[in-house]
Amino acid sequence: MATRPEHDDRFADNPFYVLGLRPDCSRVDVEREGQKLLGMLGLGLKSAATYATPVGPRPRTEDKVRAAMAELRSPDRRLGHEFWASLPPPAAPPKPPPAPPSAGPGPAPLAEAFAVLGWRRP
Amino acid sequence: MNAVRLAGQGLVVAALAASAPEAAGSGARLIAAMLGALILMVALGGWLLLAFDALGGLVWPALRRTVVAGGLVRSSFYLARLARPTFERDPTGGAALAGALALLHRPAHEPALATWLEGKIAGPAKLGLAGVVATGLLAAGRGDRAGARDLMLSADNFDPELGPAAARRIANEWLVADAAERGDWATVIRRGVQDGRATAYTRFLARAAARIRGEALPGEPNPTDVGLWISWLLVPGRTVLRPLLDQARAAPRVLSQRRPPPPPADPPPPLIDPAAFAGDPVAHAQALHALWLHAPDVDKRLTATRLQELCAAWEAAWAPAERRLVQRAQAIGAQTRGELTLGGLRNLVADDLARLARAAGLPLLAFESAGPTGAAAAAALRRTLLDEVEQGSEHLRARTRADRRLSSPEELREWNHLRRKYEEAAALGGMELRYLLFPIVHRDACNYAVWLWNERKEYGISGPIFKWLLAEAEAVGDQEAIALQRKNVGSGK
Repeated sequence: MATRPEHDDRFADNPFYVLGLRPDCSRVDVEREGQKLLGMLGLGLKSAATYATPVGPRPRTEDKVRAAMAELRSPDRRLGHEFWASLPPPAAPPKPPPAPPSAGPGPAPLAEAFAVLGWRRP
Repeated sequence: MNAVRLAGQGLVVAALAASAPEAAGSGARLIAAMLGALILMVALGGWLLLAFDALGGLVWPALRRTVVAGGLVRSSFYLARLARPTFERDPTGGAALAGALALLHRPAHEPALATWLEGKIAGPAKLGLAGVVATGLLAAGRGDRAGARDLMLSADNFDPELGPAAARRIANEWLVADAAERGDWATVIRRGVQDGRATAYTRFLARAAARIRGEALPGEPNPTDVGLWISWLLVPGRTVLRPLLDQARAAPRVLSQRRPPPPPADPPPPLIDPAAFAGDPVAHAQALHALWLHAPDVDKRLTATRLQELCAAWEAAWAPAERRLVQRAQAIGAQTRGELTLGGLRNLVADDLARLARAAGLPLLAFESAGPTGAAAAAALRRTLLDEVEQGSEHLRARTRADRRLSSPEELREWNHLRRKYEEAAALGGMELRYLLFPIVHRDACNYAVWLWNERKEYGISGPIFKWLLAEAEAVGDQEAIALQRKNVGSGK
C-alpha cells in the first residue's frame, strides 16, 4: 500500500523522478542508478544536482536519493509511486498554467498601497 | 461659562478684601484675599481646560504627522494621551493605536516594541475599538495578514457612537490598502467612500478604481476628470499614485452601472499540457491534477467548470488505472492487491480535490454531482469543514466552563478564528452546513459571550458576538435563538 505523502511530494519528490527512472525499470536498475547518483553527488557533479519532474526541476540531495531507493525496495510502496510517475518529465522548463478570464476590468494590484500611507508592508 | 462666573466671583471677593474696613482686622482681609486668589486660580484652570479641549481635536492629526510618522513608538503612546477628545472613550486603546501606527512606520518590525504595546493593550479589562485596531496593526506588523484583516473587520461591529472615529478610519484605511494591494478593487470601491470611515486616500483609490472599471460608486456617480484631480491632490504622498490617476483619467467615464464586457485574455502556455496525454486517460488525469496542484493563485484560476473537468478526467482514469495496478502488482510481487491500492489512491485524489476546491472557494454543490470522484471530494471537504467548526466551538465551550481567561486581544482573535471557520463552512457548504452547525455554535458562542459580558465586562467583544448570532439565527430561521439574541442585543444598547 502506498504511503500518504503530501500532495507536493507526489510529483515533485516521486522516487522515480528523483532517480531519473521510468516506472517499468527493474530493481537492479534502481540500485545501480541510486549508487551512481550517490557517487556523482559525493563528487559534487553539477549534472546530478537537479532532477526533472512534470512540475519543474527540483534539487537532488544524497538524502533524497537514499530515501527514494528505500521506498522502491518495498514492492507495496513502489506500486503507489509507480502510479504517480506515469507522466514523463517535460524537456522544457515549466510555464504558468492558463488563467481563466478575469472577473472584470480593473487596475493592476497596487503594490505601494501601504507605502503611500507611510506604513510598512505586512 | 462656569469658569467666567468663578473668575468674576474671585475678583469680587478680592476687591471686597481690599476695601474691607480697618476694624475688620488684617486677618479677615488676608483670608478674603486668599479665597479670592483661590477662586481666580480655579477659574483660570477651567479656562485652560476649555482651551485645551478646543485644541485637543488638533492634537491627534498633528501627532500622527510628526511623532507617529517618525516611528517613535513609546513617545507616540504617551503623547497620544493628550489627544483626549479623539480617544475619549478608549484612551488606552488610542495610545496603543498611536504606538502601533508608529511601529508600522519603522523600517522593520520590532518584536520587543510590539510585545510592550500588547502588554499595554492587555492591561485594562475592557478592549475598546481603538485597542482592537491597534491589535490588528500589530498582527499586520508581525505578518499575520489574515488575522489583521479579521480584527480590522471587527471594527465594523462596534457601535459608531461608542468607538473613536479616528480608529474606525484607520481600520478602513488599512482594509482598503490591503484590498488594493491584492487587486480586490470591488472592496476598494465599496469601502473607499463609506461615510464616517473614508479618508482622502481611500476616496481617491475608490474613485480611480470605479472610473477604470466603469462602475458607479456607492452613493455617488462615476467621477469626472476634475473630481479625480481634486481627490488626488488631497492625498498625502500622492506622487506614487500618479500612474493610477493617469490610468483613471484615460478611462472613459461611464454613467450607468453596466460593466463593459471583459476583454478576452490570451491563455499563456500551460505547465503540463494535458492534451498531450489525450490517448492515456490515467496520464491525462494526472497531468490535469499536477497542473492544478502546482498552479499559482489557484484561488483565482480554478473555476467550478475546471474542477468538474478534473473530476471527469479521474472518472475516465479509474478503470484503466485499476487494470494497470493489478498487472503491475503481479509483475513486481506486491503483497497488496491492486484494487486495494486503487482505493487508497481514490481517497488521496478526493482529499486533493477537496483541498483545491477549498483554496478556490468553490461551493460543494459546484462539484458534488461530478460523478463518484466529485462526490467523494465533496464528502471529504464537508467532513473537514464540520470538524474544524465543531472543534473550535468545543474549545470555546470548554474554556468558558473552566473560566480559562485570555487577554482581550487573544479572546477577540479566538472568536474571529471560529467565526471565520463557520463563515467559510457556510459559504462552501450552503444552508445544509449552516443548519447543522448553527445550533452547536449558537450554544457555545452565546454562553461564551454571556461569560465575557457578565464576568469580564468585555462589552466590546461580546456585543458584536450577540449581533452576529442574531444575524445567523435570522438566516437559519431559529425562532428561539432569534428571541434570545434580540434580548441580548437589546440589553447591550
